[in-house]
Amino acid sequence: MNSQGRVGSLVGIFAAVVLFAIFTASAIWVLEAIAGNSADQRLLRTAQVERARLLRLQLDEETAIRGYVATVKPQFLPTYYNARRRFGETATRLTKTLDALSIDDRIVREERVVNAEWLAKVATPSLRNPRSSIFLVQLTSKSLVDGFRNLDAQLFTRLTTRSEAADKSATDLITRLLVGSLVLGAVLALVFAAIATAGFRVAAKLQEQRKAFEDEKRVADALQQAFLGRDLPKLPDAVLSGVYAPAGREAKVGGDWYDAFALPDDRILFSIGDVAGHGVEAAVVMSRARQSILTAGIEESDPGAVLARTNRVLRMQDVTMVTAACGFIDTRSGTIAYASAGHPPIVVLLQTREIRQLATGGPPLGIAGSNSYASFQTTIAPQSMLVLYTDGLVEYARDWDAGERRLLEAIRRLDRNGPSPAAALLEAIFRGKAPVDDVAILTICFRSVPHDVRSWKILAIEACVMRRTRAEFSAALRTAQRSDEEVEIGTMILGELLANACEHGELPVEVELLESRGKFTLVVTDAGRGIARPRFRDPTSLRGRGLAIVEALGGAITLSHKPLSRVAVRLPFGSR
Amino acid sequence: MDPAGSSIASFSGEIDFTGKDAFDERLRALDVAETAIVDLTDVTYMDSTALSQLIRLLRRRLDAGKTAPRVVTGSRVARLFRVAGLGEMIPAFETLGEAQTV
Repeated sequence: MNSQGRVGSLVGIFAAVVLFAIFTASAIWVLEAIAGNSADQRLLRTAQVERARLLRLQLDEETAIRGYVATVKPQFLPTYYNARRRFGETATRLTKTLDALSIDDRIVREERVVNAEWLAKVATPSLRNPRSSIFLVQLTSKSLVDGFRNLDAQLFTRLTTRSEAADKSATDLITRLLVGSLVLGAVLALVFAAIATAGFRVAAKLQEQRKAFEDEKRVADALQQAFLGRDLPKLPDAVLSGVYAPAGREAKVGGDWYDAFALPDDRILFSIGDVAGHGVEAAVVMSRARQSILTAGIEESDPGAVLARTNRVLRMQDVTMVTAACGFIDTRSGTIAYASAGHPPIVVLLQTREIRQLATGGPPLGIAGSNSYASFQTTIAPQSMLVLYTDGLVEYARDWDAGERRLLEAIRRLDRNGPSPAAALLEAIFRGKAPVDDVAILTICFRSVPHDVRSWKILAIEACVMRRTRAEFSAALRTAQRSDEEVEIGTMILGELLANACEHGELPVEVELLESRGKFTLVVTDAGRGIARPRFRDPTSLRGRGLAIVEALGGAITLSHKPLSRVAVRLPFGSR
Repeated sequence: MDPAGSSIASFSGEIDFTGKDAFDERLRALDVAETAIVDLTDVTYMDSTALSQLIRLLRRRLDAGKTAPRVVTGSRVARLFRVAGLGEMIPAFETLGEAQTV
């Protein structure tokens, strides 16, 4: 579900919770009201009992006195006295009960008054003289007792009315509670129905989007597979591994690539890059960029120039931004020359498990008119591994630095001799989960890096320095069991390279004799900017003769410049 | 200058770019000779800058209407001459005697 749907359902759930809380609170209030009501009802019943008892006591008193007057027999008197004793306390209890019910006790006070009057006017005279004026006394008694009955009837009515009112309010409350429940239920049902409908709509929309995305992803994936299907070159001294992982289903396919191409004389042209944007369009731009690098890399030996040419090609086609790194690896001399266009740095894992990140260069391709990309050159220490990657390997973490730290740590732990260090690195970072952005990884592991046989540094252009360098070089070749002819040819080649470096380059000039698997490479480096190799037209021309002679002697030349001018020659020696 | 009217410049040891000016100076002595012979028999090493000086000598002499200089290569320099492909322009000989008798 997308974030909008998630917010919608959160609001719905929140509303439901609030409604439920309100309902619960009101239900508790209603139940408490009903409970209070039933307490009132109990008091009302008590009041009715006490009211009836009070009337009964008055009637008992009256009946006893009437009997006594009629018969003058003392057995009526206990009933009278008993009733009279209990009248007071019963009236007091009734008053208290009425107080508890907040009902005015005026009627009880009036009943007490009537009772007192009856005692004074009927009971007391009758007890004193039972035979006197019976008729008159009886009339008075009847009138007072009727008054008492009247008051009692009033109280009865009052209590009954109050009881009925309480009953009614309780019924009302229960009715309200029921109606409230029904309303709440209806509202909740509506809320959930609304959420469900919105959810279905969002899900349907997502389904639609996903289908469109998957259609495009299939095409882009097919393109990627077609491009990446080519096998990486196999070389005796370097093992390459690569992996491309398309983004997971939630994101989109991008235009990442890696490439490596074997050039003559054991060199590798490699490239890695990332086209901004996604989908088929990005995959098409990717194919252009990588083809352009390959084409330029076959003709140019300067990686900066390769990127500059690629930039021109991409700019002409008005494409989006592309980050890329490309370069040449010379497995004979164990050196890398590379250039970078806004791409993450190349990582070198040394045999000591130390990590180095190579310097990076210019702006991404396709955005600026800049046609100059710096070339870098460095020697690869024996048993090192180069790791090139696209930023999908780092950007899965929101924090670039944290992602990079984790990546470097994963590289540090890599098994260089595993079947595919690139796949192992991908697994170490994502642990089987699909990355959120495309990822391309290329690793180049140097199985056997050439080791120095000898090296010399030339700090002054003097005949004796040259003579001594040649002599020591010859001696080194002889020590390496090379034949007299090979020593002579090797020394001639050295002489030509020295002449070029000293005459056209800048001091210091360094000479290295490297050996790898019985093959010898002579590398001469100077601090100059290097010159383009002049075309050697015919035997009588004066320029470019040195390298023509080197080639005529059978040496395979690799030239590079920036930042150092460098010539590497595979010496034409037979294998031993 | 010997009786046959040829001038001979003989060199020995190693000739590389550090000594090209001295080499050139001695070659210039051959510019106007009827026959010019460069004797490299005792040269143990030579690089292509020395070849360039020989080509300059060739050009100067051809411009002056003279013959191409003859070079005695000896055993060590022969390979350089061979791979440089100069044999057609600058006749190379194994011994001084051969160079003088032609």
